[in-house]
Amino acid sequence: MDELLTNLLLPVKEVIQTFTYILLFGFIFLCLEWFIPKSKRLLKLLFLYLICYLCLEPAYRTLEMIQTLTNQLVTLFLGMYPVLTAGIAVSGGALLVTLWNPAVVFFSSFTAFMADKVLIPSIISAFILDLISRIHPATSFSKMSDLIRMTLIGITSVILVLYSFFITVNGVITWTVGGAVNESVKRLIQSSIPFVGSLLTESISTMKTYSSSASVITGNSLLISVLVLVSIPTIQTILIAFLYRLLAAILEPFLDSGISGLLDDIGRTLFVLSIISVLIAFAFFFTIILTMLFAKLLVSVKG
Amino acid sequence: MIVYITIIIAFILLQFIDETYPRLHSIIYTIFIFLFLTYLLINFIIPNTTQFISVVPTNLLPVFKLLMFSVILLIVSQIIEELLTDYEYTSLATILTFTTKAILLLAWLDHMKQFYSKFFSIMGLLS
Repeated sequence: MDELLTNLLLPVKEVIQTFTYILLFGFIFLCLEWFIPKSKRLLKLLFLYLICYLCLEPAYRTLEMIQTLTNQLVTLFLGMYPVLTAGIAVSGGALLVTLWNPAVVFFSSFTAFMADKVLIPSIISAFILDLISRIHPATSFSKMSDLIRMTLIGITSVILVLYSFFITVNGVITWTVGGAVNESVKRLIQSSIPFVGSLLTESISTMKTYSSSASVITGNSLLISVLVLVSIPTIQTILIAFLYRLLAAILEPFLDSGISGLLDDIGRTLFVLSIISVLIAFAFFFTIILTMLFAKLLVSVKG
Repeated sequence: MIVYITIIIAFILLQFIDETYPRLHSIIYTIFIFLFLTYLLINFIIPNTTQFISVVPTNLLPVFKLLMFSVILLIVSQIIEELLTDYEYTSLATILTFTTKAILLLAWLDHMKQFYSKFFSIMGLLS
């Protein structure tokens, strides 16, 4: 639990450190501009570079984390799914397998593959375009990066709708939390997380539906721990995105609008990344459940 | 305080030389400016900067050193550039400005290596 908390709070610490650095350098550059008013333009450029150098570290790391996760997951899927499917069939659990639509197996590996090859590279390009627009405002790509972000949200929502469609086909929907509580939590998430809030609540609902059908086989406590485990990258990404936007909001009155705008853009891009990481979490969750199902079947056959 | 006194005394002496030996005035003024600049750098700017750098956190030290180097270079080059412009050596002043900009650019590009290697590593993941 301690390690989990440390991992979750590490980005907070880093962003606070970044905030201190920005304020410190902001003060130093203000003094320098007063000392050498002739080189104002050069000093502004150097300041922007230092901000990029000091602030982008957590964002880079989040991108790399999601990228590595997806990469590993695709390799895992390619090696594991044929073995798992065959194993479940051999174990004699053919009736249980029908609960999991075989198309979902294919679909989840396809989404992970798509996230690896299309969605994450697109988000990286949006990130780079934002950076160029802010460093050199004359060549602004802000509309392009907005378009990429909107398209990515669209693609992700379509994939999530398809996920929920599979579940409706299977017809296994049970959830213990009351509808009123559920709705208010949904509204809260929708209003407090910008851009991707509603999409996130929909994906949580879909994951809940999966878990309710899987809990028949695996048990609730195990399922909750798996859910927590797979949602860590998403929570971390959302946290970092929030902190970037907070940093931009705090620094807006003190510094150049370009710098707060850059931080705000990074925050928005990370929000889109968080919704992509939900797709990864979905696929990961699904694989773990399937592996557990396989183990359970093996034990029951031996017993 | 010593800087103010030196400047006042130098001003009086230079005015005195301008009145008595006007031909020598410009050469003495140039020599004085260079000597005074060296004195200021060795006795005030470098020790104070070193003292200031010692309180900077270790992870920010390379950036601070580079920033201090850039600022000192900019100030010195601006003083010499103005001196050259005063004597109408504009071409020399332009060359000096160009050299300073080139040195600053090279120093910062060298420092940015770490930044753009990270940037390219992320872009490399695109392929």
